[in-house]
Amino acid sequence: MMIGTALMVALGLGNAAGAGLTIDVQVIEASNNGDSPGAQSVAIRDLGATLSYKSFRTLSSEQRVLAVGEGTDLFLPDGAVAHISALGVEEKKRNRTVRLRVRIEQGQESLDTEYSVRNGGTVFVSAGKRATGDSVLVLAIAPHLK
Amino acid sequence: MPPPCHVSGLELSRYRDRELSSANLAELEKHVEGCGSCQLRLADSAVLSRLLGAQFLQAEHALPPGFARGVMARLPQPPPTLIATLRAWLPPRRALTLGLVGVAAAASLAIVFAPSLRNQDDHLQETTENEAQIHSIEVTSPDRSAMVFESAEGNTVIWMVPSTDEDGGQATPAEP
Amino acid sequence: MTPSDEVDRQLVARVLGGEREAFADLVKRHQTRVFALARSLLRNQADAADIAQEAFVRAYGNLRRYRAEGSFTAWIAKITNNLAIDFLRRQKIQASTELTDDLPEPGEGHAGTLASQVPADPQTATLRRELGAELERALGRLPEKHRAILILREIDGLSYQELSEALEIPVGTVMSRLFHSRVKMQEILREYLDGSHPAPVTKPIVKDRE
Repeated sequence: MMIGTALMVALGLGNAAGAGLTIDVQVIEASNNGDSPGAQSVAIRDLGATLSYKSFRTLSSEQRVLAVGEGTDLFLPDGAVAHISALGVEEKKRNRTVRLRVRIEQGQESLDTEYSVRNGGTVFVSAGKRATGDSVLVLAIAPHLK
Repeated sequence: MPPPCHVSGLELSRYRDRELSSANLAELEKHVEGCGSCQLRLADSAVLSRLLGAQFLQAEHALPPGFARGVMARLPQPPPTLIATLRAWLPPRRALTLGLVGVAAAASLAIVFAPSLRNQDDHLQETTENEAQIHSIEVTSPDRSAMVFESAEGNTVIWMVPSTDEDGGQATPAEP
Repeated sequence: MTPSDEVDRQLVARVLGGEREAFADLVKRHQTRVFALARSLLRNQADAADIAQEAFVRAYGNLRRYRAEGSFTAWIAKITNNLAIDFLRRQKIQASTELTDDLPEPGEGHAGTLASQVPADPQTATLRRELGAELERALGRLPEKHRAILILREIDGLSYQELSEALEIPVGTVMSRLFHSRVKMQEILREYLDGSHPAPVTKPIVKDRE
C-alpha cells in the first residue's frame, strides 16, 4: 500500500482535488420468487447471468453528486444503510479510476470496503438480506466523472 | 365488418412509424379515429411489433456472457508503454511490500525513472477493463465473510457468504 | 441528434482521444441490438455472436471514418448487416426468394384477425414458447433483406433515413420493403394461428367502434 502511494506520488499521480463525480446506485433485489419484470437494466442482465437467483428487480435507481472527500448515505429497505464516499480520482489518458469507500450496515452486521474502479465501471456489492423471504439486496455502484 | 377504406397499407405503415409530414400525420390521425378498418389494420401491426419485441427480449438473454470483454480482447493491442515494459522486469506488487530493501529499491527506482515516466498514461496499478481493484474489505458479522469474484460481464462482485462455506474459490454463490 | 446519439458521439471522441476503455461502453450500449440483428440474419447463436463481435472490431478499426453527424446506431447496423450478408455468401447459403412488390395487401376480411387471435398477454409459459417459436420460423421464411429491415425498425427503432443509410438503399425502398416485410410476417402468423393452434379467446386489443 505504501509503495503504491510512493510510486503514485513519484509519478505525479494523486487525488485530483476538487474533481466532481456522479455516483449511480441501483438497489436490486435478487430473489427466487416470481419472474423478473419487463425490460431489464444492463446491471440486472449481468447479475442474472452471474448469480443463480430466479428474479431480479430494481427497487430504486439514484444518482448522487459528490466531490472528492465527500460521502453520502442511502437508506435501504429493512433498516440497512449504505455510506458511499469518494476518496480519490486518478486522471490518466487511458485509465481514469475512482477510489470509493462503501460501507453497508444492517443491524449488527457491516461490510466495509475500499476499491478503485475505472470511470463508469460498475461494482456490485452485497447489501444484506431482506427481512422477509429469501431475497437479498445488491447495490450496483458506478461512478461517473464530470 | 367495418366499411373498406381508401388509405393504403403502405400509407398506414408510414403513419404507424410517424414517417409522414406533420400535416399528413394530423390528417391521418383524424381519419383513423373514425375508421374501423384502419384501427383493425393498426392493431395487427401492433401485435407484430409486440411479438417481435418479446422475441428481442429472448435474444437479450441469449447474448453470450462476457460479450463486451470478448470484443475488447479482439481489438488490436496498443504498443506497450515504457511503464508496462518496466513492470515486466519488476517483481509483483505484493512482493514489493515485503522488506525495507525492497521498499528502498522500488522507491529509488521510481525516483530515477519518474521524470521519463511522468508523461506515460499507464500506471503500475492499471485496472483492466471493468475489474475493480480491491484495497480493503472488512466484515463485521458473527457468521458471514466476504468473497470477491467476477460477474459475467467482467464487473467485480463483492459478496457476503456464510463463513461455514468451505469453498474458498471463485465459485458463483447459489443461494443465501 | 438525439441525446443518445450525443452520448455515442462523446464516447467515440474519447476513444479517438486514446481512451480505449471508452469503446467498451460503446459496445455495451449497442451489443444487444447488434447481436439481435446478427442473430435474426444468421439464425445461429455462435455465428451471430462471432459476427456481432467482428462488427464492433471493424467499427473500432474504422472509427476515424465514422461521420459524427450520422447516428452510431445506423453505422454499426450497416457494418453488422454487411458482415452478415458476406458471411452468408461465403457459406453459399442461398438467399430466400425475394418478396415481390406486387404482394397483395391483406384483404379487408383479414384485418384485425391477428389482434383478436394473439393474447395481449400470454399467460402460460407454453403459449409464450409456442408463439416465440412460431415467430422464429416466420422470420426464417423472410428473405434476409426483409428480416434485417424489420429488426432494425421494430427493435432498434431506426428512422427511415437511418435505415436508408444503414442498408444503403433509397428511402422509398425502405418504405416499401418495410411494408412488405410486415405484410408477409402477418400473413405467416395468420396461417399459423388459423391452423392447429387455437388460441384462447381474449379481448381484442382494439375495441369495436360503432
